[in-house]
Amino acid sequence: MRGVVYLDLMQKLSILGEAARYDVSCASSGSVRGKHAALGNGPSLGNAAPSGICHSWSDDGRCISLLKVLMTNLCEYNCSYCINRKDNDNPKAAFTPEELAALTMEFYKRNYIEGLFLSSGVVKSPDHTMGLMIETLTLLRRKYCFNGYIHVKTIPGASPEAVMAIGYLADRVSANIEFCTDASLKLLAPAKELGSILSPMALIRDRREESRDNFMHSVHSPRFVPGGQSTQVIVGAANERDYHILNMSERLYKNYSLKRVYYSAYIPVNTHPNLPAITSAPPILREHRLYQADFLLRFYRFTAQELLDKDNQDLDFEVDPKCDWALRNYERFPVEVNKADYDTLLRVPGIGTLSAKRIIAARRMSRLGFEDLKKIGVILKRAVYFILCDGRFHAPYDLEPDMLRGVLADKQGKLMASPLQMRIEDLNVLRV
Amino acid sequence: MYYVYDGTFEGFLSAVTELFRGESEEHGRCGKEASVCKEAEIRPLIPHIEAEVIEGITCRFGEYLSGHFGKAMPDTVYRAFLSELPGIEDSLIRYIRLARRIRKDPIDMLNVECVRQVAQAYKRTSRETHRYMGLLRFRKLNITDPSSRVEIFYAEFEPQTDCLSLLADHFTDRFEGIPFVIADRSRNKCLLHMSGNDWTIREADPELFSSKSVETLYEALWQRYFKCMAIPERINPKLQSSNMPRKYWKHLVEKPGEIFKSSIQ
Repeated sequence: MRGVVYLDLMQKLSILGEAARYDVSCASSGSVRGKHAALGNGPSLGNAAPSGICHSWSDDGRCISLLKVLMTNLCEYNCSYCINRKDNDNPKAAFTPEELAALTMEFYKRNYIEGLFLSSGVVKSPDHTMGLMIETLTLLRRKYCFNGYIHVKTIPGASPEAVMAIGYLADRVSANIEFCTDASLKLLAPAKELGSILSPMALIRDRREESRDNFMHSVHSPRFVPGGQSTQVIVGAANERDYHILNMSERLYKNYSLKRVYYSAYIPVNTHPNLPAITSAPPILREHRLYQADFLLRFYRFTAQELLDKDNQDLDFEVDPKCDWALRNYERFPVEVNKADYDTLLRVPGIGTLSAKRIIAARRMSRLGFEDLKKIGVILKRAVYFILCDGRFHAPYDLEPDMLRGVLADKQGKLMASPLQMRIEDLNVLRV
Repeated sequence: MYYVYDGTFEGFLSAVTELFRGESEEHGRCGKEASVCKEAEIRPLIPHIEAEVIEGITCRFGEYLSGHFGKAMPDTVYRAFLSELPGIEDSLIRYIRLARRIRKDPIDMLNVECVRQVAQAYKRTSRETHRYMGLLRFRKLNITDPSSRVEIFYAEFEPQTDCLSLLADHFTDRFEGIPFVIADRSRNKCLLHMSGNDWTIREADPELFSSKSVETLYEALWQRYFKCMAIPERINPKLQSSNMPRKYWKHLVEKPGEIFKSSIQ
């Protein structure tokens, strides 16, 4: 391949691992792979647990579950935000399909990983690149009879046939949206457009529903993307507001039945007039707030419209999105824990899905006192301002929402918001 | 009064069966006082009865629990027992007694002390089991006999709960065709798997711990990969050790926290 000198496996792994690390998703969940899911003829190796299993946590605290690498970091595209853009003269490398399949198997046998996460730069054409990835997956599934988890990033612009072929081999397939508006895509990734990312998503959604219907009739019918789709949005590279991002997420969950939308705080790797300066810190707290809001959309029956609107386009940094909503709708509180229904309980700050369910179950047996709530797992330091227990308000003081905001300002952002303070020079030394 | 058992789960269930039998004979008059304890923990001056292990008790007790109180209950009792938390036997007895009284699994009644303790113990074992599903590291053993082409994999760990049997099904299912050994060093026992779905747990041979082969290639590859994955701008040792507490680091192949250390020096 052009520009690639001979590299040993160690060099390839470090170049292609490092190039893949900015992709956030590493989930190995959502797919059950029993023996009947195996594709090879020999005895199969591996399975997948619906809960997903994390195998390690790297020094930035992110979980490592899959062997996350690129097929190659050579790329025809020149997206300005991306570390692998054409004009960057960082070292280039490429795995051969056999090399990568064998490495995955050896790591898997030692229980280092749950499976493979394969993405790639675009080499020659999207379909050529997809061909290399399909070859790798075919080797894994057919030759090595690998029955563990595989997550694949589709290449924007790949043909529907290639997407279909890969969908029958992988557990999860995803296409990264990266930017929520066509305007920012034009600015930062001129070779991509929103339509070319959304159309494979629709294709995968339709075929997936079809294959699930077939699966009802026979467990031997081939399964298409059993783990569902996910995507990633870059936060803080273009000038989108949280309002745009959350609305986009809601649309993706509703219309494309996505499993997850991941948010990635942009880490400046390139210099470009349209991008934040190379010295600026990644917006980690903003990313954290977006994840919190995302959970409210998925599990707490909130709508994006309730969390943010045209006048209020960004999530609050001081308090989490649920507290923020509760403070803006303070007239709805306090609620009586012994009477409120599940949906109402879910909206109380400090009560999660689990404790809401436990409250419902426990109060069938006896009335719940204030002490019982703590045992159930309710975070009382937040919940106390929003609940009544047997008609009594237990908060240490009764405050106006504005004052309460200061009291509720969370410490949890801290763990994420203040990573080790290091100088930029140190960071460059640390880039392995 | 104490029913003394041998420390195994079977023994525990046998003792509990004896205890409930005794209670019903005495119409529960002194029932509340009775409990069970391990052989090693016999306290002098308190009357005790040796409980014989009843054959097939695990199966029968499990059927009793799931038949009367729901399918989840046998597993709750088993995992809570394996947590080895002090006093868990007492909590389990109260928990089962409560189930018999209200005729259903009381696991949701977290405002009751014994239920909360059982739930906590259950969670402790389950959490550690789940963690080790990911954090156990295998290495290929050097086989001296060149004629056999079988690869044998070996892993060791020091869990706080007795979760070896819970890991067995997961790993035998995953590595069906691969013979492996998992050694629990804190309890000196090991899990053996040759092929298929069969596995056994037996006392570990001390030789097992001393014969360590070092696998240079893949361990080095994995260490390098692990290092590459950390994004320097996001280094966060606190988050790392809250997700993966330090007690799990000892038997890992990779070296967590190294970037952090080197940046201080």
